[in-house]
Amino acid sequence: MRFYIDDLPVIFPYDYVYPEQYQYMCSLKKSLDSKGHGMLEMPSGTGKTISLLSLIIAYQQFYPGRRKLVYCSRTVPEIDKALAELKRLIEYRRSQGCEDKDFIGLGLTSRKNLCVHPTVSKERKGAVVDARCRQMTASWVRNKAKTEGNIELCDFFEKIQTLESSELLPTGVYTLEDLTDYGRANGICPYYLSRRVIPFADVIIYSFHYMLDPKVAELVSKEFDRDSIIVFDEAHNIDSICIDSLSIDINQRTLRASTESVERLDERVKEMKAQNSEKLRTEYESLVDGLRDALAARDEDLVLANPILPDNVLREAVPGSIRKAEHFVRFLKRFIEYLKARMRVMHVVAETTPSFLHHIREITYIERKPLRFCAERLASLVRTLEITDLEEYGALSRVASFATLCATYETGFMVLFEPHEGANADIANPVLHLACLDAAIAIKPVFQRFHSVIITSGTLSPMDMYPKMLEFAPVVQESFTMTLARQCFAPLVVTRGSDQVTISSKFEVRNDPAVVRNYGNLLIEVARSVPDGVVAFFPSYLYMESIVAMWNENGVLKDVWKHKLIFVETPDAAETSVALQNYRTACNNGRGAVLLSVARGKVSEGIDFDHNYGRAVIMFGIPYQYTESRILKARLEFMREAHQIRENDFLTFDALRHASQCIGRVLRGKTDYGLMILADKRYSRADKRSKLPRWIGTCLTETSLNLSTDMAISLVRKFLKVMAQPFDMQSQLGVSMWANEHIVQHGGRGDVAPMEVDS
Amino acid sequence: MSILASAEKQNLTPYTTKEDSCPQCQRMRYFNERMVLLVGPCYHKMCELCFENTFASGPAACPECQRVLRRNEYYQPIFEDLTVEREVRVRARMAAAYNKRQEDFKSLKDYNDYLEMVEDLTMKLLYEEDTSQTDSIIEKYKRENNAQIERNMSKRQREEMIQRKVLEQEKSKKLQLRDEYLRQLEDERREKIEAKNNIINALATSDKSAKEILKARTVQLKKSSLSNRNAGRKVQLELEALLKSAAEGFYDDDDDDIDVEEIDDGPFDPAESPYEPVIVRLREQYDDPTPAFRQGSLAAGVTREMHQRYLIEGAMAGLFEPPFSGSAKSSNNEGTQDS
Repeated sequence: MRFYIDDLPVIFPYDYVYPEQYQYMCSLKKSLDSKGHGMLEMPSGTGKTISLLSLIIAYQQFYPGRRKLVYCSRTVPEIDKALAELKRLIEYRRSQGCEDKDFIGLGLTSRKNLCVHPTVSKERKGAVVDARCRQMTASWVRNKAKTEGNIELCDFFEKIQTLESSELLPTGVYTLEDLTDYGRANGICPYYLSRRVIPFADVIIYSFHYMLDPKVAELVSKEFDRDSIIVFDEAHNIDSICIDSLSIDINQRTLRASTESVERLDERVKEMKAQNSEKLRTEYESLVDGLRDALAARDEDLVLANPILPDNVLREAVPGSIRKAEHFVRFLKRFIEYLKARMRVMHVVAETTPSFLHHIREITYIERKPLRFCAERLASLVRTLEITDLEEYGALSRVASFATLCATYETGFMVLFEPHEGANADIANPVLHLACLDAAIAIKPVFQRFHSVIITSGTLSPMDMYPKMLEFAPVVQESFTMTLARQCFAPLVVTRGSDQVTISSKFEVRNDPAVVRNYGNLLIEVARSVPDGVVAFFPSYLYMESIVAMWNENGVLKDVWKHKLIFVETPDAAETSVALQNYRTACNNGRGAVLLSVARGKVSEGIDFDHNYGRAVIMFGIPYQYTESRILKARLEFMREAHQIRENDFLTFDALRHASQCIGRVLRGKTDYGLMILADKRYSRADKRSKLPRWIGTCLTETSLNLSTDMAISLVRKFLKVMAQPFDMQSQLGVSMWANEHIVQHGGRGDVAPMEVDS
Repeated sequence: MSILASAEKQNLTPYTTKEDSCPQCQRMRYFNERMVLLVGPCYHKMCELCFENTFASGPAACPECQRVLRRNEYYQPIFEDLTVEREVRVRARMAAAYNKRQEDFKSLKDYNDYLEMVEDLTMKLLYEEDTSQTDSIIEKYKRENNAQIERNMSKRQREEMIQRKVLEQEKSKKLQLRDEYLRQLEDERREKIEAKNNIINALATSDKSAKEILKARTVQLKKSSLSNRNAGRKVQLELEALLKSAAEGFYDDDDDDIDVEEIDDGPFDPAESPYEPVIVRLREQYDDPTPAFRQGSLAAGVTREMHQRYLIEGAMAGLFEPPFSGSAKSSNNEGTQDS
């Protein structure tokens, strides 16, 4: 269908549009028009991605400037899904008479997913694929191959070098699979193809990290226009991603491995000095002159990227004390020895980065400035020594990143040393954390560089938290609810068992037999009355283990087995995927199944339980973070001081965004239906309820709050009975689905004549 | 030994492994958990017992390399790699001499060249390549740049002091904020309980309808929470302003209060002066009107310089401020003058 938003003709590849999609597009357009940032929340399963794409493509093609769209998503399947949607949209636009000249849309992901090389692509680990790829594509290897015969090169990569940028890729939209197919058919490396084409592409879809992680962002996302439109989809965890991209952990194994690597470097340097010091000398000279351009080698060679943000890189020559290769090697040795000495301390030390630097200077006479250049100098040395087996240097590069980050940022970071893992203080497993506390640091350059950054997800409530944490000012900030012809999801808050004992995952009572029994009874009752799949979420693996063990003893599991099969999520991804597959089979063939999983695990993020795969989701307790973690404590303190966010506010916010992610899994679209059972006394309190997304919160009425198990089950039965009635699509029209005439009714403009579109 | 002192401050423990054994007496850690291994300037290990025996009567030769060493030169290493241990000591020596700063150079390139030169010298010392020559270079450099070295040293000390102060201030500010926050939480909690009690009282005693009372309460609650939050923010702003002004004042007015406060928690060393060194360079010629300086009025064996030095040192002993600030400024006494 086609309709207008203001003066912009939008082509939408479905016959009807949901009202919230229409509103979403209106808000989106507003924020694009004003060239400001936006924050939009819309329930999962209401077609966020297609609304985003169709509006932005229309915007891009209709207005002059042709603003590039960079769409960041979380996982590879999501990227693929978005690409498929884009492909469909562009085909539809073609069929509607829109030429979209020279349109290129494509995705980028790691070498591991894109490689077509016959042997390399068989490797399983991403790091190995990267390393082997580099062994064949590094410029020095290729130079060497010109003179010596027996060096293996990648033909796919060689082919790409011979092509002009204009003849790389015909216009069109390529999903990841299309890309590899094209690469295979034409003998071109899809990974480098994608990297080359990105500068001229109209739509780029890739993972968050390519935008936020300075190590890769510098490589991939440097050349985008200020005018580009950046979209972060599924961005409810964006602050954690920002923080992770700047945090580093170092343990004893890392240090041991880096000592070995330094020894190896030392040998290589000596060797090279002995035979031909030509290369070392050229490197040295380029460093003396401070010619940073000499450092900025070709992108294939940029192997160990700088971990800090481009704004904070010192644009000057490498300090003299680490200019010579052998000096730098000694410098690394000293730094590693210092870290080793720190690792022997048997009590917890938390300090700010300035105090860490002060201490290191007192003890080892390492100044701040050479530390700042550590990562970059290492990269240069590795390049000079022509080292290709980089995975062996992973630990060392981590240590170098640690040094550089430490020396670059004075605030917003903490150096934390923990001698013991977790709570049990017997086993020594010292870890040195460099914890980034300020989520705004990593994302700030993105907000500064681009006019329009859109943050969107199914769960962004409470909406004022993100601008505070990420330090940006959105011009548009909206939360949309789902328009429904029938109430197809029912959130229920169960606070008591049938015996009126309150249930809660509060630490003091969580292992109380009465609570465990009541949670068990709730599961049995739900398993009995709900058809097909039921998903149950626990706050943590630890709690899940203990509670399942107790259920096993008191026979709850046996009762559940009568009605459904039970599957469990484990931290192991392969195991979990097998469990999921069998869960699906059980749901499909009517046996029904229960999946026990964890609120912060893999299942809760990104796996959909639509239709029969999930008719009910139970959230046992509130998934608070482990509050005794020192990093979390430091972060809370930082946020209290810097952003005036109270500790409890943040903890509740964080717990509830995960809870709502979990319960949102069950509903994927308007024809779907599902129950959302929140089983904890604390959910009935106003401060918790107010932090749930608006689309769930509005459905929480007095009747569905503060229920006991038996009351909840009777509501469940009633709900399922209503939902089981045949569903008439026609009843949705005008209410939860709009055709053109409904848009006109609501004050919009429908019916775009075909020729108007190409202006 | 300054390294050890600061290492102890951070509780950096000496390096030990389970496989340690003394090369002299072959004792092993396996039998004695508390065995202490010491190293001297030649970096040969020795356990504490051997150490006591060897050095029972003054200086003795290291059993490995026959170098004559003293008792007080031995210590427990903190690094696993003994070359690093040694390097750190070499660096301590280098840092005492080569402490030029970037602002002492015309361009960054010069500074970098200087750094590299220093690094080369350090490496020479470390690998013991023509040591005597390097030593003489260092000594020469020291002599030539004496004034600058002293000046930079005091500059550095000063900077560190400031840094330490700033860190302390930040810490105390954090504590204050935290207290404030906790107090606020406590207040809110109390208020809530009080309000609850009030409402129960009101419901029990007044004749208004229950609805009205509840309504009044919600309005009041909203107001109070808002004001509370604002109050918290205000307090914080005030605090920040106060600390800021304090910090600014601290940077502005130069010396006195900083110099007075000596922060040193190392062990007492009688040879160490409790005062910052006051560096005075004598000029060739003083226009001194007093007759004591005229030729021939001095006692036998006392030169003019000795006499002047004696007078100046006598005048300054125990004073924190250099005297004759007017005239001294023009001489080489900048070390304590600028900040």
